[in-house]
Amino acid sequence: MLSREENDLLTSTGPERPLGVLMRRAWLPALLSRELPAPDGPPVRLQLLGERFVAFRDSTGRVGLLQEGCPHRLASLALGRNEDGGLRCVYHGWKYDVTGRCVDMPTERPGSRFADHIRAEAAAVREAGGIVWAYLGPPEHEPPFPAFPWLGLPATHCAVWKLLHECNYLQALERDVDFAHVRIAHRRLPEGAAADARLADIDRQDSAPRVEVERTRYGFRYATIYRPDEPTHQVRVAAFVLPCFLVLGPIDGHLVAMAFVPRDDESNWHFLVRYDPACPIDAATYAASRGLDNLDADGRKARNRDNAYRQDRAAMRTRTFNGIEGIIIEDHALAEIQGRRADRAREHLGATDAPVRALRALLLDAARAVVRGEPPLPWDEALPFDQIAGHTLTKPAAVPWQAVAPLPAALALAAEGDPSP
Amino acid sequence: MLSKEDNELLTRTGPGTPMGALLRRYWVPALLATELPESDGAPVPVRILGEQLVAFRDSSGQVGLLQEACPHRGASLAFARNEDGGLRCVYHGWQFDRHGRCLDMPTERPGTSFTERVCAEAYPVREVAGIVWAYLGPPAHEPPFPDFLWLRLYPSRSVPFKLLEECNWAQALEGGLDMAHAPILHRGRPWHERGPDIREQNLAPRHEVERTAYGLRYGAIWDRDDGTQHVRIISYIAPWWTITSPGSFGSRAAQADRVVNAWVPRDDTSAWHFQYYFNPEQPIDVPWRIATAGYELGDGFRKQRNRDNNYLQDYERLKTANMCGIDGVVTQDHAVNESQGPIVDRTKEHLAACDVAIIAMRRLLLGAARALPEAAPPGLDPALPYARILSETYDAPPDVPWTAAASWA
Repeated sequence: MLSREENDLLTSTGPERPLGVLMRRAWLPALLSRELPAPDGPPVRLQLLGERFVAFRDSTGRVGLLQEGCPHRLASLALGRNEDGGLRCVYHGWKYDVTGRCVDMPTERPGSRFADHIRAEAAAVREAGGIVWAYLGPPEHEPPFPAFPWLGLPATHCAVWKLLHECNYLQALERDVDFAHVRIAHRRLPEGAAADARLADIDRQDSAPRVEVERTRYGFRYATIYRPDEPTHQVRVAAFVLPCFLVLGPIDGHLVAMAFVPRDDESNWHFLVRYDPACPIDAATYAASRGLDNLDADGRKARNRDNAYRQDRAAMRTRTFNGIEGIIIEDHALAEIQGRRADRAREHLGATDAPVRALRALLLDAARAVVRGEPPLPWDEALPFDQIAGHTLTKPAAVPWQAVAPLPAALALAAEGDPSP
Repeated sequence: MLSKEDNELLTRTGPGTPMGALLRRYWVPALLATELPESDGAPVPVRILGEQLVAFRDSSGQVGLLQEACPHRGASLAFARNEDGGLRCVYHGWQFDRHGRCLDMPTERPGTSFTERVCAEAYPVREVAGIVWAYLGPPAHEPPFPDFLWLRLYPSRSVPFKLLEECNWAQALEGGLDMAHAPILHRGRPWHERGPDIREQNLAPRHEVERTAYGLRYGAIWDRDDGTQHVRIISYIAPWWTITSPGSFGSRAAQADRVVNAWVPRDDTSAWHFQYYFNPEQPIDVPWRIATAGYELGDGFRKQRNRDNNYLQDYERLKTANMCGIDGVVTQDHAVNESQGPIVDRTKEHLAACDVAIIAMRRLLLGAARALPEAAPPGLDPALPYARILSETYDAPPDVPWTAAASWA
């Protein structure tokens, strides 16, 4: 449970809010590279952290991310002409390059210097791993670019998707640090199940895992230990990376990472990466198996809150626990039906919610660091993003999971009293 | 006219508001029983008095009404599995029965006592005469269930309807306490033609109102040249009920059918309009009623003729066929009520002699809301003979006061 004030603090990401400042100190996924397939193609309108932007790929292939409203009279540059190295507003023809410089102002008399005084706000942009990344904070605080392990792989070894998730970003993160829901909410009866098999008969050993949290420099690792009373443990270890990233480790043989980037305070962009340094990814098969193959051009699910996710009550009796098709769609529904912005003053957390508590505590600490004027994010040159990993492992009950999947020293939190690195 | 403060007091009904506290002291019509057709069927989200609730029919056929948000992390129980005597959240499988008790918490280790410390808010419900009723107030103040006549009849003689009205509940109720508009708005002729009905011949009868134990009686009296009177009496039963007089527009006049209305706030800018159409003597002609009233509904009990399509007002028909160019008596009522805006600004109105019942109703509700919790709300005395509260249409000899003629209450 949180107070209403804490809930507001954790879920508000506008420019003036502490969490908004925190998010603006990180490199964030903004859109997919394939949304801007060709130079001089149509610009793309998008919203990040409650602000409106336009993205475009200029004549030389560089990507720009500008304020959506033309600085003149705020007509949308998403309707602009993309040509000759910049974006030209269709209203009065003012034109901006990827750095926001005004390169033409046809309404001014020859010799006017007015264009030199006008700039469109432009974000710092990088393209990596099929994603256009943006830094939306003050230039003097720009952090090193995060070398996540999936960046730099050949395109065949890494597939990315972007979905519109119609709830506050924190609900999405909370769901994916909560692996206890997996074997309940996503329960299915297998083909050829006994005639009297019932979805309601939940396996109690599976449904109440032990969960443990370990603080790290980048955030925390959380371990979900299924069937903790048995001599051999199946364990999933995943990592939360401040401010909004997850590295989940192997699922069905391949690795998965996620980011939930606030779009505004009632929706977020869910970036999903499936990657494998060792072998190519079959992206189409994976997409079909997860329900990722049924999105519109803006990343909205065909099964969404407006049609109650096409929940199938007949299937709930015979095949699936929740009656919604597609793991990712089910996951989105679970968070979205908490409301666009969940009221955490009314909830009751249980034993398996330990990672949810840890997530909130960490973000609240970071928000308070912002308020005190301290550096809120651990993103520095010494943080080896490429060593952040998740694990799926089997171990004897007596052996701690940290012994099987030790945390690299450079990722460990400096012990109390140690000089900082 | 009301002050801005009184208008707020009258129209705001969410949790924590004075009017909300008053309305929560009464049994509330919450949804139609037909919305929950079978045991273990799909649960239904219910929005009343600004609260988000979920209704379901459990394995034994009993109806439960719970907070919509699962107490764990707030996922909507409208998506829950309905099985084995309760709603089971699809997120983590926590299960709640119709009393709000947590029956199961599969994410907790065996032997936990956490289930005993968590419950969903649950509200008392009754299923009576085709409607699921709820009580949302403090348990200590749960009133007797009102034994209205129309709740005692054969189902064929008392038929419930429900539709969404897209404005604040109080202005919808005011439309039901206004006999002056009926021969104008509902007239089945253009404005310049008047029918033989005395109500159309004389648009300005006497409007009088009398305070009663349950609310108000409101009489409209048409004086004829020979001294005889045509009298129509309708009842207002606190806080949201009206009973129209037999032969009102949109009822089968020859059969003396009556219409009962209740306007229950959905939130502060929309209301559930419940109706019973009833006749103790004979069955109701439901298809006739649907066609006459304009009960063609879409998703969410919304009228097919609604504000978005201007109620399909037809300017040709308005010149030749009827007064307002809109079809359906109930649709006509909704159109004018909704056209006042989501919450009408009563600081700008100008009330007239025909508005005495509206004035009396406001005074009664504002006074009762202000008097809580010291004074008991009106109409909740267990000794009240609810089954005798009715409405009437009759002709009277000269000089008989309307208050004396009606002996039924």
